[in-house]
Amino acid sequence: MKTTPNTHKPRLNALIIDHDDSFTQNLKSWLEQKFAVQVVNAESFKENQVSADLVVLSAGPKSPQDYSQSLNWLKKNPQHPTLGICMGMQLMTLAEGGTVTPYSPVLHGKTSILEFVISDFPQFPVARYHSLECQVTPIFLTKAKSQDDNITMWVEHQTKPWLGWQFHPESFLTDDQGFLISYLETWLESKK
Amino acid sequence: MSPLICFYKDQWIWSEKYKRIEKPIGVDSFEFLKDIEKDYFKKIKIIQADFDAFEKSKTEKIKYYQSPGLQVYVIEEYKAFTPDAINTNYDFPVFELLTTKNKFKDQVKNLIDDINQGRFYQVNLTAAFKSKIKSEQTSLELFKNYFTSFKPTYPALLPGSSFDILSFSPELFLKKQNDVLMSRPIKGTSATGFEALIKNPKEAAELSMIVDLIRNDLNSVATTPAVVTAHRKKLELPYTTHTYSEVQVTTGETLPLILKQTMPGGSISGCPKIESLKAIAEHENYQRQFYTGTIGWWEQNDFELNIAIRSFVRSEDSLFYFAGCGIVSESDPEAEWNELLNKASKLKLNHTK
Repeated sequence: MKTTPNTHKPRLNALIIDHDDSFTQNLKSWLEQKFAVQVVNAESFKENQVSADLVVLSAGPKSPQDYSQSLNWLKKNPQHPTLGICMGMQLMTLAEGGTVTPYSPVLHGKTSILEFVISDFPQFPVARYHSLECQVTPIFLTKAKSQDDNITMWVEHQTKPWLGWQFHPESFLTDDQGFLISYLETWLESKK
Repeated sequence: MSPLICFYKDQWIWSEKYKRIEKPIGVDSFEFLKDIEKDYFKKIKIIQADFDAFEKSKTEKIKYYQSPGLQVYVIEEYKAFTPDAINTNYDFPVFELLTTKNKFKDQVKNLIDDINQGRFYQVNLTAAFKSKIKSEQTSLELFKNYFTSFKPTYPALLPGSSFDILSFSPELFLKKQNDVLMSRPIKGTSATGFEALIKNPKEAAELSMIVDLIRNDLNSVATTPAVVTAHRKKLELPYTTHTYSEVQVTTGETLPLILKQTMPGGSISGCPKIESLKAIAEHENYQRQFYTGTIGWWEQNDFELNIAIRSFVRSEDSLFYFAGCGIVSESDPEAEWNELLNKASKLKLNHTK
């Protein structure tokens, strides 16, 4: 059993909606640095279950069109703070009328340097597992792209508390020295 | 009793006094192992679990022998086993590959299409080899003669009632000592040596994906997050060169739950795992049974289990061998075919079609 750290501030809660991914336990472990984490499968997910401070839409096989329940949840709950990872970001893109198209060559288990376009953040390698890419509508700010092939890697919605990452923060290939989890915490704080 | 041989701690053991317990039909694998754990806690046990031992729905495909899915040998007495010097005159059986080059390459192409459409990142595709065998050719003598060819780290000879398993595995699936649980997945293969392997980005990605998958599976039973303790290390075998990595967690769980959470192993299924298992069922026309399952020892709460690859099963008058490859987006069907043959290169093989 995990022990809860003895801090005065109560831990924030995160709920992962899992799209049959095989990295969900890594994502859970990664989030547990800052959050108390629950996991629910997208198939058995009921909307009234959400009391978490943060919803995390996981990566997963196939394409975002295969997970209509998660897409509908985004549309019906636009003000719930949500982090979309890989397919999660693709679901956010579709929910706002953007497009998700096949990307070639596919990148699975590869890294790219994250290059920030509008913030002065450090450069670091991130893991990529995707065969689709997002063309977001201008309601999203694109914050970072991949240095080598210029693909949208990091988006933030301008009016809704949505953060999208095309890369995998939980992979052992991502070497961010703790930057991403701290950023997530600060971002969530700013959306309260 | 027919001799049983298995790796155990720092040695290989030979036993002729043991009790073999098969999982009865209809009994859940987890419950079966919980009972074994309770009834034989302090005994040295050798266990063998099939690839699909923890799957709830089974696909009905060709079965090369009748398997209980899970069996346990409770060891009463053992001595050390030392392999014999190689017998150069041994009459090794001649194998046929039970697929054709065109069929295998077509399967690889189909799987690459699936990968490019985002269905999964990697899938392990395998094929079977078959040989007729003379009844006077014992499993023990076959085991001893293949032993030197394969130079296995995790060997086992498991005699059954209607079949014998001969494993020459180089791969550690799981090892638990006290609270530390580790896995050493192998991915990346080169018949031309380590330099070619380590520089190849396709081989690097193939292993990295599986490392993330193993981290995930170990994290599901962990009290501390998974750590990658080695990455892309060299494993030199007499017939090929591989790369492997090592992942560790600490855990308070015991073997039955750990196997339930982690089987089948990531390196021989694919990633994401559930979708890969569906693809394996769609493409392979036979049931893997023991092949790519796991074999190893279990004593109190410690255990060490291989991935049952580079392995044979003998049933009546036939001997089967199996080999496979990890398919990723950058796979070349011709190269995967060559890799399949490379992993069977210690067999006498009839010309392939």
